[in-house]
Amino acid sequence: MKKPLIEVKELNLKFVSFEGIAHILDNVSFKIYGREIFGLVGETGCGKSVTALSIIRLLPKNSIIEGSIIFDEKNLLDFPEREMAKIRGRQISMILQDPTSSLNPMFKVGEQLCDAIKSNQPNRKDVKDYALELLKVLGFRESKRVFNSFPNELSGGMQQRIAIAIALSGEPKLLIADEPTTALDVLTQAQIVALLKDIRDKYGTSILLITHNLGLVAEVCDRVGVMYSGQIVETGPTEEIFYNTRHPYTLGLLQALPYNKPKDKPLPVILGNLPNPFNPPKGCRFKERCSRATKECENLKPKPYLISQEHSVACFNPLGDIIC
Amino acid sequence: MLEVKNLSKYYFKRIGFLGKKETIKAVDNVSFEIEKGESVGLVGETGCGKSTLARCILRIEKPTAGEIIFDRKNVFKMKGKEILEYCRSVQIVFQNPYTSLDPRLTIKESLLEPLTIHFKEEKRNLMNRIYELLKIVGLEDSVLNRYPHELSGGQNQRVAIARAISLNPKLLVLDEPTSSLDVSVQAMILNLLKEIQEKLNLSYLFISHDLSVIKYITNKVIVMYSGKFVEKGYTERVLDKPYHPYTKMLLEALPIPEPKNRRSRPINSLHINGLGECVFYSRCPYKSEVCEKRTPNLVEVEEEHFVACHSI
Repeated sequence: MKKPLIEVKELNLKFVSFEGIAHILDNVSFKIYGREIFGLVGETGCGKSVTALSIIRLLPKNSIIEGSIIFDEKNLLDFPEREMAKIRGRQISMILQDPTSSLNPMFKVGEQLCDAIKSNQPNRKDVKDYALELLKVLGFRESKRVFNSFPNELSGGMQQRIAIAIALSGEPKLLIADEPTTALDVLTQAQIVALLKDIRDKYGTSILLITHNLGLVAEVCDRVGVMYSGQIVETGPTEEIFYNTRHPYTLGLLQALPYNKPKDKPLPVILGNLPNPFNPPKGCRFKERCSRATKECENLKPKPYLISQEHSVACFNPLGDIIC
Repeated sequence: MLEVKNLSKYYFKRIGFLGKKETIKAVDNVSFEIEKGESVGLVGETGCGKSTLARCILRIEKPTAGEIIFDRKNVFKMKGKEILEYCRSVQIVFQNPYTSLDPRLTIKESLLEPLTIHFKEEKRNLMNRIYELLKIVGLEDSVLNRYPHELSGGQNQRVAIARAISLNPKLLVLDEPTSSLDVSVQAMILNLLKEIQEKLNLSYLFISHDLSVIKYITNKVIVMYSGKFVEKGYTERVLDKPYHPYTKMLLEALPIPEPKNRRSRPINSLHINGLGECVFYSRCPYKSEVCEKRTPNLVEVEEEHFVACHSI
């Protein structure tokens, strides 16, 4: 049995606010192995980004977190802030959605990259050479010119590549990419995706890819977790999820894609909205939007169980062997 | 119904105080038509001039050359009441509904504003119109007294659509209406747009860079690169059998939701190499000497399928 690089176990997260307690994550568990790209998909507000923030421990102060995140045989949630700061950037690093807001507009990108290298690898002497080398790895041909430009002189795709360079500067074992291509257009998106694959192949970095683009997931991910309202409803290898879909929500997401759908028919949609996190419904959280809901779903919470090796689903009435 | 003839929009930029004037050709000599009830897709990367073209059609931007004919009238020679009427017949839905709706107005006020400007009627009649609009876009009456920040992205986009169709337009310009939305919400909005089009017999100019959306919703498509049209024709034919290398590149870059058919993709598609007369010269894998010296014109390769490329 392979040992996972990171294992998130029964993670529960609540936010305390004036309106009450918001239940954000509910028993989220998943594993990411070495050299693997794991995709986390779901609608806006389902808790994908918050899961990433809990791994890197950048949650706001009003949060209550339970469970464990095992990384390198240690629980990240037990670490004091000082220890955690050493892990961020060096072991686990993150790329955010919008590169224009994650880079500082007042400094040249080269300086920002060098700062990151100095902080992540304090013993390094050849900081500038290493920075230029990193830029080359990321596909910049004129790395010197790019090194001396300000963020506003670069295009969105280039800025995102700089952000990736900064994230890679500490040679992390896990890279968290939170919707890295949502703000970019198709060609740039394809380029960034190819780059992420390249990084995995070259450095053996594991990647947690958070996205709502199922096309992207199909292109790069080895395994996928589908999230709904703070719970992981289905996980498994990408092909299993796409061709042997078991959870009605996953099927709904797949059917809503306009790719190669007949023009004369409306797209099948999932009606309704996400449940209110302050007052989550009893039983299954998807029951109100589900066409297969029964009495069982009304009161009992479905627990994830294995359908085949590695493919697990949390549903009382999973779909049969239909292929969408 | 709408005819764009040899339209160009140039911007001028001066480098330094006494520097040379530089011309940026945002839209360069393009022509196309939109018929009644038709939806035309406009595809291209960020910065290729799609939005500038849309702004010219809406009279937000004055073109440098060329003309736009709407219902046999030249749009830029209209006067007085004709302009108001034109504004009524051509409306736009923007990409991000959070920024296109006024955050300080309730949904009711937002919807009422265009109606009071264009139809000088009693408020009671206008309210009836608003209820009717909400029914068309599938919203409940309770949203009327809320503010945009209280609604979800999908709901806001529905409000934006309701506002755009409130003046009985003939042409709706949709500037990436679904690219900031989730898949499930996107599906709902696309269904809604199709439904409205059938019901009200509208024409659409659908701007997007997502080819799977374009394929689903439009019947004609125009591919734009650096201010010029490089390929146009019926959507099925263009996307199933593309001729221009740029269209091929866009199709290759489209992520396909089928993990069994993964392809390896070239990273170098963005590198720029040399300059030629053809706008696509710098990135084209099939370039030759002709491309450096002569601008390719749109040529009909099959029935109603135009391509601007020397190498076909």
